[in-house]
Amino acid sequence: MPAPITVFVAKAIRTMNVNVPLATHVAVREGRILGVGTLEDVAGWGDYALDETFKNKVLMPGFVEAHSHAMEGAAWDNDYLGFFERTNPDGKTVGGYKTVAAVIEALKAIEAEMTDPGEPLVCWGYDPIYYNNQRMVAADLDAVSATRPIMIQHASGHLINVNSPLMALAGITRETNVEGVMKGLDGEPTGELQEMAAMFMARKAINQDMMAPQGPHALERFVGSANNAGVTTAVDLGNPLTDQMITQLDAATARDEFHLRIVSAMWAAAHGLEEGIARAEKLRTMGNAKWYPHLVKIMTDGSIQGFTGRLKWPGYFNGAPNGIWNAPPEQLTQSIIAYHKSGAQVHIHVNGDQASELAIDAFEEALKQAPRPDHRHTLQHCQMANDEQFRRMKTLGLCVNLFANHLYYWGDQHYALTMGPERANRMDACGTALRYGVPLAIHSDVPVTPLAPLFTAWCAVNRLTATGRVLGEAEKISVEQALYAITMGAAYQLNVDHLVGSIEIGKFADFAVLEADPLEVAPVELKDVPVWGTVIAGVPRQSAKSLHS
Amino acid sequence: MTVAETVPVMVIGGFLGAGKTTLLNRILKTGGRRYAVLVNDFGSVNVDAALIESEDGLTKKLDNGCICCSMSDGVGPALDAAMQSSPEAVIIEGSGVGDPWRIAELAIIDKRLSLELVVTLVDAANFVRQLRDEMLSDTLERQLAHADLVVVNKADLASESQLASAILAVQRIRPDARLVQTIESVLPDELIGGIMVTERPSIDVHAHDHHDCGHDHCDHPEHHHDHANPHHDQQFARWLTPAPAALDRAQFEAALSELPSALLRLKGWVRFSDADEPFLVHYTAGRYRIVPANDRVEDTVLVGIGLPDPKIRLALQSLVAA
Repeated sequence: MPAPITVFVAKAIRTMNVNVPLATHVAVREGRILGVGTLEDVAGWGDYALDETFKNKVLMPGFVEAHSHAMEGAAWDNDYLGFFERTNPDGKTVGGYKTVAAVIEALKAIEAEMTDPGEPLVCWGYDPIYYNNQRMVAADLDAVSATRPIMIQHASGHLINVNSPLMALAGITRETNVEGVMKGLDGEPTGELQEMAAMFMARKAINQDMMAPQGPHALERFVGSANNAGVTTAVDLGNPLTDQMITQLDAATARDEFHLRIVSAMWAAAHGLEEGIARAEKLRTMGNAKWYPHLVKIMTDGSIQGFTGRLKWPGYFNGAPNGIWNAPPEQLTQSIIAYHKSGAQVHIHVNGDQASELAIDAFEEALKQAPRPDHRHTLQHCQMANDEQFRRMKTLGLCVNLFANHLYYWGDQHYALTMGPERANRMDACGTALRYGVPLAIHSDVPVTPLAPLFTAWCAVNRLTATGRVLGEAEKISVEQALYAITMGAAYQLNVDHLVGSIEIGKFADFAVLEADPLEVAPVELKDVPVWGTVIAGVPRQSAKSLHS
Repeated sequence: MTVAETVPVMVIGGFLGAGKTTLLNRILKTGGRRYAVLVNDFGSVNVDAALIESEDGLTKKLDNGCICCSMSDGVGPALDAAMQSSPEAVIIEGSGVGDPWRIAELAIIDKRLSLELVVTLVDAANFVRQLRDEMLSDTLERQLAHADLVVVNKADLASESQLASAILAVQRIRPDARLVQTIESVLPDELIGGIMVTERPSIDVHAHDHHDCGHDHCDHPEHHHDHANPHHDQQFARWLTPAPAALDRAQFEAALSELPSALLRLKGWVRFSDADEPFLVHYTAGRYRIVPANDRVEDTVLVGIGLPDPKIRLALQSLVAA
């Protein structure tokens, strides 16, 4: 006797499948889509149970996030201090502090809740770029606690603020003469620490281990964030994937109740070239229905807002020196070619246009040396690529995953400081990518910006900055195109488009459950469509955020 | 200021092919200290496989007591792993695009460490071509910005004009650079090794200023030269200064911080008027530390090496007259 069939009925089902773009019923058997259309279309498969949970809701294929980091889960072990509001995995809205004084008040409230007087207070997401670069100093944090070590990590990742007790623990004094220890006119360190050396010493003083493997608890919180956002497949784009991590991920994802599909990318720089190629080959034979460890991640440059992205002439608008390479360009090129030849699918971090050029040149050489159909190598972020580079991507069969969320979160800063008006307007050029037929996805890079594909789609459609400026009318894309990018577009780049990304017979029954139809609301309201939760392999789970609201 | 003994750190910077690995292996061969070596890639260290006692992916322990650590998780974690083997000295080989000064700052800020020398090598034959590459030029310039010593290496593989242009280019980027040219990364042992401390020279033989320690009359074991390098002797000068009197510590420290920049390294024993026990002075390129000498010392003497500069002799004389 065949397995039982469940038919879900919904107000509307936007399938991302051109043959049945709009449906009302979807039949599910053994966790997979058996049929989609009207009740009449799907009824012929045999006896079914009609599930009316979603009869007033809208279903879409589960959203696919093609640039995220599972460390999002661990980030929430500490408190969030950002300028913008954010939803934590428990569904609560946190952050949104509009002044430094509000940040300090929030810290005092957090401190008051802590019981162990020796426990360090660590927060993340602080970003002075929104406070006219008003500096926070140790005295501000000493007012929160003059005994408990406090560390505030900036959103950029390049700075931290600490209080006097933490400086004492780390041995940072007026005698500490390194560039990364900022000092006031009185010669005393201000508590603002930059650069690797000073930040490392502060983290060490409170035993914060940035490289600690993600435990099951952190992974479960990542699942919570995905569930809140309607995401059913997310990549962990850059994980050393040591033997220990492989064992942990395999065990965690193999559980029936694990409510997310994860695609893992091995962080190439964590291994020597030969060892990395061998490890990636082994990983391509591994995985389970909820874990796909077949990608390789290579880093090239830093970030635009951190002024560490590598730019072509004329460089940064404010005259900042050019950014940094993660490895010598020729070594990066060799590494790209070697991974390509080994059969790996490479996702490469390129922010500045010099970095995207290096990657395109390297892939061109790799493809000359070893032609390969359907490689789906993908340029990640690729925020500054120019028109010519998009044409070359098309020629070489490269995909692009653009950082649309940047337009909102840092668009004003790009306009005024990093790129200047013209290049800010052509950043994250979704329109150009589609005009040239480059396979497109858009992303959040969570925890850098919040995981919320409908918000990401809204960014690509409206291109509005935080202050309401439209950045680049010509690069806007339609709602349909943006919804495709966060489903099929992302699934294609992650090479799981045969399994997820559309509501189509044979694919996993993974759905985003929405309270409204994204194609019925005004484009400028796309980000406000509430998410009820997700369905994975036919199993619904209401999100914590939805339960809270 | 008296501080507890710290572990000296040397940082080697430079682009691919400049000779960093050659220098690293040369220091290891010089021996004398139990080194911890931090590298980006194990492949760069000439380690006889038979010497490897154990390895766990990020560290390799050698049976001569040295340890080799990978920086793939970052230099900080690698340093922590290295310190667990209680090394006598640490050598960090920067990546081809790394800024050696960023690494050096860790040695300044970490109380367990003291920064000894930051050397940046450039490839004499290719430096000017590399500087023309807009993907590289700013990175190479940054590597020179804070180096204690810039070594224009592989001088034998460069044409005369390439060598001259490379030197000019370095001087344009860093007009105040201490600059030498070498072949196969050969630098004096006194500069790169621990020899100045472990083998105290005899004061009788060396009680004079000598910056022209040429092949024909050199009989000092600590001054061995690698004969592959013809320019070696004219480029480095050495000084030996007895400091028999008990010195005033404050005046001595004031004079130390005024030493001419051509003096790269100064080590030795001194006595201060306010203490019975002798002290060891470690001075490198303007940074110094003064620590209690553990062994009994009969004579107090300072041994220096640097680039030839007549001002140094006078400066050292006034230093010991403090």
